[in-house]
Amino acid sequence: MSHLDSDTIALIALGEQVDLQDTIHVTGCPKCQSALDELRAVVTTARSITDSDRLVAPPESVWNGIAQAVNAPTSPASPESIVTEMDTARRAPQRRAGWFALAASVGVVIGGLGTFAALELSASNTAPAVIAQASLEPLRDGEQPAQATVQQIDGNDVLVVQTSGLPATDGFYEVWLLAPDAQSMVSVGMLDTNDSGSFPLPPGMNLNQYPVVDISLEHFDGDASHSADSVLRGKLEI
Amino acid sequence: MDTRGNETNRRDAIQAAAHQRDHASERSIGFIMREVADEALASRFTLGDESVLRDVYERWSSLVFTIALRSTGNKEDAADITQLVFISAWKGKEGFDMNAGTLPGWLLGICRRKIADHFGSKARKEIPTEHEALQAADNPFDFGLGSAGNSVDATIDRVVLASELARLGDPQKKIMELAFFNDLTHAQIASLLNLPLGTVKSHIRRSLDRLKNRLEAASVAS
Repeated sequence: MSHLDSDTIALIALGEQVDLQDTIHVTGCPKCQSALDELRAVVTTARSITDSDRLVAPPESVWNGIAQAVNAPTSPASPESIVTEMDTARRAPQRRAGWFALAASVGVVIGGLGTFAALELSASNTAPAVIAQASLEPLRDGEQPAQATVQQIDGNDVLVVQTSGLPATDGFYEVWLLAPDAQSMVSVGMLDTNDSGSFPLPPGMNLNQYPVVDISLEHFDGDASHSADSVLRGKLEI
Repeated sequence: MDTRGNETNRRDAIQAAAHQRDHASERSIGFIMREVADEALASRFTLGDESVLRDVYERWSSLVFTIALRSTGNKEDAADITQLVFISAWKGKEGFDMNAGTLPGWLLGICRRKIADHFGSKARKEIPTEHEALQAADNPFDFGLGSAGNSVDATIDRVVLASELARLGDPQKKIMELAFFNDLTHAQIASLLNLPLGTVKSHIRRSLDRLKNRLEAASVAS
């Protein structure tokens, strides 16, 4: 048979099922196989991207040093223009930089992009609008990942959290929205023992300011602040 | 494929798609203009126009800095390396040949050497910082030893690809994100974004080709 068209090779590279005869052709055709291998390498690299691979602008002092060394004009490059260039339009630059710092400081690099995987479709089309979504990654061994969404229900934003298999505890699980630097936060409620819960957010709450969903294990100790014992965490993709 | 239902993901994508369709045309034009601007920048660079260095810096310093940061795990070292890369590039600009490769590819070649120098000369006797230790788990990296080259190349590939993906116009960018990270088939993507099957297929093929070419361009001058 003739060689596979390049659309089909691209689909195979992404792991899609194609006609059996196309699959058979590839295994026996060095030309198609090598085209496939090239694209597969791209797919493999793409799927290994994590949040910390996003562009970070260098500090302004870097340009000043360069300008001095080469006698160029010393007015620093505007950080604005650098980030706008690489911005993905949905994500404000401060949030990205902040998230990077958070990831570094709490000791997890949460793959916002990479951990999207394994989500799937279903047929329904009539439910409330989802305006943000997060994959919550376990911060301790043995926990299951979880999902959080922000939905607009009757004009109000509602955070919906679905976890599975959180261990029974003497205390309780509390749901928070954190600023990227994890220095400020808002408690949105206690998680039900049935592993899921809906939490209406205060009107005017700015998700860009508090984009990180965090679930902590709290004890009945009379202390209303965060226990610093987080079990699940993830950033909302807005 | 995983068949677990997840309506929220679908709805999220629908939301995003509706939003992005509104901006699709202006972004594609913006994308083409940025491509032209990159080439213009490269040709000005070869002419040695004084003001061009800052423009080149604005365009590619984040890429260089992020790669250095990911490779060293240290902001000060990454800043030093970034500075060295652009100073070397400017002083050695006669060595850049537009016909032999792209300007970012050439800059990343210099970046790769500066990172290697950094690990070679420092011999890093100090204990890895907490951040380095954490990075190591995510991106196995043999501090100061021979495998550094491979790891730096992998880092360059990831960072270049992430930035090129972010620069794809819509709907291509959304399509590729769904295919890469949400593991959706082209048929699922077509129905999600309300686009013809053939359109999605050819966007996938063209975008994969483009990303492949960008990765190759980034590694040409190594």
